[in-house]
Amino acid sequence: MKENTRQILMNAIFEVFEKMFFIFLEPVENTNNRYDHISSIDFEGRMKGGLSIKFSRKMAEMMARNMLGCEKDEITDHVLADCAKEAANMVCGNFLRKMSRDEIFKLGLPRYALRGRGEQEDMLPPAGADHITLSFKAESEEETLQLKFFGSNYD
Amino acid sequence: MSFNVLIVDDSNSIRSVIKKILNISGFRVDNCYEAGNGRQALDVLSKEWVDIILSDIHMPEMDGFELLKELHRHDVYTNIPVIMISTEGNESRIRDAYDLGAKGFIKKPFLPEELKKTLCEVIGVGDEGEYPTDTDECDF
Repeated sequence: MKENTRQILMNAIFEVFEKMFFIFLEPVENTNNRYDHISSIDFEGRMKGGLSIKFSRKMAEMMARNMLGCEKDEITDHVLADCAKEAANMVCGNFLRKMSRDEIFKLGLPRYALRGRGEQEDMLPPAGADHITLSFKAESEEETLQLKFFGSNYD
Repeated sequence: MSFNVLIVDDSNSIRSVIKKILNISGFRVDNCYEAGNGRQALDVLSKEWVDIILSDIHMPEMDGFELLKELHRHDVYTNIPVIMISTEGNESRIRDAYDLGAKGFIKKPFLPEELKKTLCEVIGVGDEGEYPTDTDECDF
């Protein structure tokens, strides 16, 4: 059943990135990239947990560029933060809808941090918690992201 | 005929995307106002005439459902059509939105065509059952 959750997470992130960011993600085993941005969101309902996404700087820039149609010099830290938060929000909401059409989940407000600046421990799965990790790349090895999902009763 | 549109979403990016879609879809928008939550939306409405509202649900301070309730309390706002645009798209939340007076519901993530189609339906273009296709220009 965990495989089912993993597949639904994949479908959710594919749909969000294709529709909103015009990015076709490719699953990868892992990446050696440094992740510069992290966004996360919590949810409550039949399942309780959270989802976090770490982005390489190149991936975050590509998302902003594609979503907003802006040039590289128009991409500010604020824009990157906003895109990263909205990505976590949409992926989590889309995933929960796909898990259950009828159940109500209460989503928290998405949070964002730059690597090493304002990053909170609770933006990541609690130590030792069972979780799912998915890594993706876009057009090149430099545009990568890593999604972590954790929750109670999610099997 | 052109319209005044109010976009309510706490994400600048989403507001920008919606504005862009309105522009490229051929909608005649006179003024496009923006608000980061329901409270700010009411503030805009107290000063400006708005023909249609596109609102997120999940926002800080005042969410989209509270905004719908507030609009319903004021005679002057109660007839302004509201389209909800949200990640929260399960059946009961959609029913709740319609019960509170929303005229349309779009689930995030959305394609530009979905927004265009819902806007045309809510505004009344295509009342004869002919809704715009992907290539049609929705000309108000």
